[in-house]
Amino acid sequence: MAAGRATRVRRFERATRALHWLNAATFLLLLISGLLIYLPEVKAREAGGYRLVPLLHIMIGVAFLIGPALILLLARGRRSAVTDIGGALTPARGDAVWLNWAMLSLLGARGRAPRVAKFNAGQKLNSWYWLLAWFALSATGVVLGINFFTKRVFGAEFVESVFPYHEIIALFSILPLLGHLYVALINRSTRPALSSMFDGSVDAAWAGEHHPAWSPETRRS
Amino acid sequence: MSTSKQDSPIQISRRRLFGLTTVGAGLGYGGYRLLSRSGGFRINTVERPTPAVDPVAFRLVVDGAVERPLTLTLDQLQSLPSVKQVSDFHCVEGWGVDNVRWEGVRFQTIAEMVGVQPDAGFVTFYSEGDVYKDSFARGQALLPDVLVAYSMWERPLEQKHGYPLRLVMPRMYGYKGPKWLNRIEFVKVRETGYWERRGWAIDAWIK
Repeated sequence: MAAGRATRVRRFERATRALHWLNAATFLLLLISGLLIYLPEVKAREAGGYRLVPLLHIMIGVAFLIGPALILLLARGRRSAVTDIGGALTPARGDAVWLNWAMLSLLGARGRAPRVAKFNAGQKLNSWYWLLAWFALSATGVVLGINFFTKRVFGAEFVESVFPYHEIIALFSILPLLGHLYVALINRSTRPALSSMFDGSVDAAWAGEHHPAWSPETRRS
Repeated sequence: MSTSKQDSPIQISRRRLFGLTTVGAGLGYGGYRLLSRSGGFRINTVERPTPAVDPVAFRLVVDGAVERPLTLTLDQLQSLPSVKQVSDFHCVEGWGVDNVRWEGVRFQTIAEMVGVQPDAGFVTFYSEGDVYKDSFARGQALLPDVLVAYSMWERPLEQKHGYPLRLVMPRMYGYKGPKWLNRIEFVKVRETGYWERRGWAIDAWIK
């Protein structure tokens, strides 16, 4: 513990952070504009013959859809992002034990955390959720977006069968989003990790405690 | 149950658990209300504020290129031969409501009452508030399932659904059915409707 007081450990490179913030920003804007569409007065606002908020929602949706691909294909240092995504999606042997521990801890139980590497099972669940939500919201969003401009591509019945999925997945996503914000901003023991999404590094002592199988100082011990 | 539970490992977490449950339930309920309000309908209007029509003062005017222009009170309209009709509602935005139960007067009935002149090829429907209107070719409006509806699911139309009258044209998207309908005008030259002026299809048939 004492060794890492002032030292920092590199955790996320620029491409990973760019990917995260692009996803976060576009998703938040989509959520806000999507919720605004529920208000008839806001939805009716027009610009150039189009309804402004739905049009903005679709344009942000395009960024949400192709932004990650652009970063993964073109950004310098993209390899680190690919590695991080792989790590955050690959199950490991101790994940079930960690989840069990985390749930009990949430309920107030005390006990030693299992040794985890760069990503714990909670982070992996979070990554899987957002990956699947990204696919589902993008796929349904493409249908609704095309339907916004032309009725020639999809039939009304098909569009109407897609519509509720887009809505329910988006609304449900508020829950994992709040959970994510809770561990990132509020929960005392996980809050120190936030810095790694800004300057890319975390406190070495924190890393040794929370990700001992990954932290350079504790990896081999 | 008792107060002597200080050692229970769940003691501290109750508040947190309660908080999470409350947030989850609140979100779920809010989402459910949003989705289910008005039986699946999302409310669209460009009339601001939403027209509040006095049923006593209300008149439906039917005029233009007709032999016998007509002004009807709500009671008079509701005493005309009426039909009940179950039809699906499709919104251009991509949502729909199946099996809406409407009640109202067939547009055909009204057209017969006023005696449409032969050269009146089009009909314009106006909303209270004077912002919204839409139009049909005469043949489209005379389809048998086009209704001037005053009831939805066995109840008078709610204000946000167009009280006291709305046009129902099940074979086209919902924007072709003006709410708060207060005037029907037969014309020789087609009027361009509110959304059609903004590039939307004039003949919004549902595929």
